[in-house]
Amino acid sequence: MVGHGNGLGASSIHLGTAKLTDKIMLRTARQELNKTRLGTFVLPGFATLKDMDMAISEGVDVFQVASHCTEATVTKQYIEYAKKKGKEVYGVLMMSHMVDSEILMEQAILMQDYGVQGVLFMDSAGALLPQNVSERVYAIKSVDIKVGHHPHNNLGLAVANALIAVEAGATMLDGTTCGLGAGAGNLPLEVIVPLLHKLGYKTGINEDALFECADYIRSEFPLPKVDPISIVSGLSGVFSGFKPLVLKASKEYGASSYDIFRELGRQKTVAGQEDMVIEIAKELSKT
Amino acid sequence: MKSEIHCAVIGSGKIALDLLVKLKKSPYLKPILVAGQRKESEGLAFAHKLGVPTSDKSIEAILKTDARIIFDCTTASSHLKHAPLLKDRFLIDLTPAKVLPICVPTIKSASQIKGKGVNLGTCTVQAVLPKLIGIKHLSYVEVVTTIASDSAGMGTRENISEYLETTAKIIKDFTGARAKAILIINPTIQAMHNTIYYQTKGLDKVKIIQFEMQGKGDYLDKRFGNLDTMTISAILVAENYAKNYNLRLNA
Repeated sequence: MVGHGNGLGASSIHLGTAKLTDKIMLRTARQELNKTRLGTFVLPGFATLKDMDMAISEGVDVFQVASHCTEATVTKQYIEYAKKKGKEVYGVLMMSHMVDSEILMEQAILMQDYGVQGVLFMDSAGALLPQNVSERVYAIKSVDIKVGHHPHNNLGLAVANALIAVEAGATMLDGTTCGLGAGAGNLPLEVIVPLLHKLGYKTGINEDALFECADYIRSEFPLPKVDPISIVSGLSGVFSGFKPLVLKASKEYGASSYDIFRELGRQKTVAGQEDMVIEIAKELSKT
Repeated sequence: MKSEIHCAVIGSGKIALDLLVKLKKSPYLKPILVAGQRKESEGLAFAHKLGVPTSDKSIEAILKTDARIIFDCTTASSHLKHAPLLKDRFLIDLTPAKVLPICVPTIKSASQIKGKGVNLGTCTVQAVLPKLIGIKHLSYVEVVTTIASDSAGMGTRENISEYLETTAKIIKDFTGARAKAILIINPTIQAMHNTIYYQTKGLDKVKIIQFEMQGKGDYLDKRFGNLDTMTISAILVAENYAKNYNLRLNA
């Protein structure tokens, strides 16, 4: 998967501007790929079908089309469009801790009707406990849909939750090398891949090549950490990507970053509502 | 001489009914027909209760009336069929068809409302343009609109891409600035919420305008400020048209 954290067309003042355009990122990645398929993320509300056209002309093979965990119907147009263009499509249900597994299953069925090859549930806030993960996998799997999980490490559970998901029958995992990503980071691939091999699962991934990649990333990028602010984000059930904005607003308005996260959680904000951070920080600074 | 101008509504969905309640309150407008497609629809029953004549013959019934102003509350594809038949009326299109010129009545003087009719663009356009129109030298505008899940019907949900493109294009056309639209759908929010980020020429600094819009609660839930802003604008266009029309008749 290549692109801005919130997918095609998401580079914005609102969420943060990417250093490169979607087009340059996809083109650069495409040139390096031989056997591996190129994927990108699409969030209706940010991306348009024109963005998808651009991605297709840059050689994207796989789309993940996502929505908030109760709003799968917004993905219909985008999933059907990708299917029509002959692409592989997966559905993603974000903030999956906000609903129970039965609702998640109903939303997954909608995506299946639109034509996806599988559905991933995203623990966008890093809020799920292992038992929450397994019950979600069982629910989606029960209606004969290929299931995947996208963990975040806010509570230090990304690897554990990924293993639980696989043991419960998930066949897809989203992760990044060194867990590079929002909040306390994503599922670190260099940890989960050898673990899966040790448990007898096949991934087709070369461990040493992955380790080499991990060493490079460790030397070049600041790595995500399970720090208190990420833990509060996970406990409050708030989208991990809000962290940099919360820290900035906390400084600017003199409100506690923990309290901002707790209030965002109380108001049940969803992914993409980054603008609420400023409002809440202002409000809290008055008290 | 003050007279009420005759109006008719095509469609009997939530927006049509909210519009109807507002029409009943207007001193300039008189709803003489609501035309839907199903005789037993709840919408037509509601209109009947309000004392407004109804029909299940849709556009055919509208054509038989002397209504001067027609509100189209159906779908973009239906509107394309209705528009050519209604050339001698003033048409206010609440669908995303975009055939007629876009109008934001809160920033347009009443005398500018003329021609064959108007399209209202999108709820974001109606909500944010009044805030932007006074700002000079805009170079970039980014609007994030958050709406309540149950205010977004399948029509909206299956056309998110068009919604984003149309909104950005209209903002660009009206302000001259590069524009981006973002739409978030939230199952728990209590009002339409808008955040406008903007920059002016030669300056990197980003300024922010944030505001909530609750609806009036005429027929639609108060949380649906996004739909209410459309019906308010539709009424405003119609009242301005009616005032001009009366002036012309009295001249």
